[in-house]
Amino acid sequence: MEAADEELMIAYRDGDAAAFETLYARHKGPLFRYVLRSVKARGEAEELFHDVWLRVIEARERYTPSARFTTWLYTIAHNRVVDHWRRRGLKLASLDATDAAYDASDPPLEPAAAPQDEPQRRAELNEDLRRLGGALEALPPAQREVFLLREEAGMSLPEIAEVTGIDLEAAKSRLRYALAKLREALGDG
Amino acid sequence: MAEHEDPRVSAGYRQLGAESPPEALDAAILAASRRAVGAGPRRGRLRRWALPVSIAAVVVLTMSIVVRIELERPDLETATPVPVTPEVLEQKAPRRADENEADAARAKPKERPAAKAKSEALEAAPAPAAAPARQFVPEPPAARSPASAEPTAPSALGAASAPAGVSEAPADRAGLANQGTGRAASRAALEDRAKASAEAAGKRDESPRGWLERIARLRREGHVKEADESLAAFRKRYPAYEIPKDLREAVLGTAQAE
Repeated sequence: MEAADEELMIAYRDGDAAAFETLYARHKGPLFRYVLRSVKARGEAEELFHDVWLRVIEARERYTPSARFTTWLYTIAHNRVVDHWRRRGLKLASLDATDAAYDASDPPLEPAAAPQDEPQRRAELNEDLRRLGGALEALPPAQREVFLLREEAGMSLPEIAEVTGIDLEAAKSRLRYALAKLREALGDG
Repeated sequence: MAEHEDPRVSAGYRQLGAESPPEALDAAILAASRRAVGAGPRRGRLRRWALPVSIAAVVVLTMSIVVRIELERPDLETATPVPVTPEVLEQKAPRRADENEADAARAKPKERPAAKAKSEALEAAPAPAAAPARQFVPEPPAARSPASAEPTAPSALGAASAPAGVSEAPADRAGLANQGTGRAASRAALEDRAKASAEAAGKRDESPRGWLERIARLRREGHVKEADESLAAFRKRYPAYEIPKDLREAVLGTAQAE
């Protein structure tokens, strides 16, 4: 039986380096994709990803399993991504853009990282996926983030609300609008 | 709740790719995690044990060497016997004289003839050089030539009470005693053993006729007392032996032969 994330983190806090390796192996992929698709470039994503894990390491002594490890990890990541956005000059109001304020005709506030920005690979994607990728990039960052937390971290709406620091209804709204845009891109609109 | 889920969107998203961090980034993060808790890389666990294991190995090796040396240290009972040769005795004599001049001066008048007798007798004694370390075993009789068993000098016969035995040498004993109780005791024991083995070898190797011929020689040379003692020893050993007629007179003496 696999140890829970919380048990592994406590073990690491108590000096078990192998516990961290297990924990890292479990979460590195989803977290990396969350960061990569939240920021503009791969280099920045790697830098942010590295920074998030360093903060986890540094904060190990303060870790208490009062919440899911995933929630704790993505809260750190969210804060780092928001800091990144702020450094890029984006306003919190833009980050919190809701469906009412969002105009699909507006250009994205910040182009998200394009994992398939290699031209050759992009050409190989079928049209639906290409449109889906474009729609994901075009989502407002706040909506995109909610969608990514749902897809990559497998979080529930309350957990997404906790991580992003918004209320549950706002989380529901963002996810609903994000899905609507993506569904539209797939031709189900 | 359905408005918050869309399997088709989720499936499409999965096909966009499953990027992972580069391996170098993985390594850097894991290294940082190990450093933070004071653990080295994976081989650090082995390295942690390397020092205590090395120390333990050195201690065990040292102890085993010490124990082995103690077990193999020769003592009085287990020492490899050094053959007492005339050369050895000659080398020892001056050193003893230096160490104790009074003893050497007192022993000198007797020492030379005694030493000579001893050396001559020892020439006939078996050489124990090839004996095993833990037991003093004289060289087998077969290794000795018959001629070597014979006394080579009349004076040796006069000094030696037993055939081909090692004569008593009080001066030697006194000198040895001055070199320390342990060494003296050791050498005395060696000499006694050499003497005993020589006597035993002589008695064992000498034929009854040879013994009688030696008695005859003693008597002919005027060592009547020694001849009588040797004859008594002969009769004790060979009570049923009939002395050949050609030797009877020479062995028993004129009076007894008649």
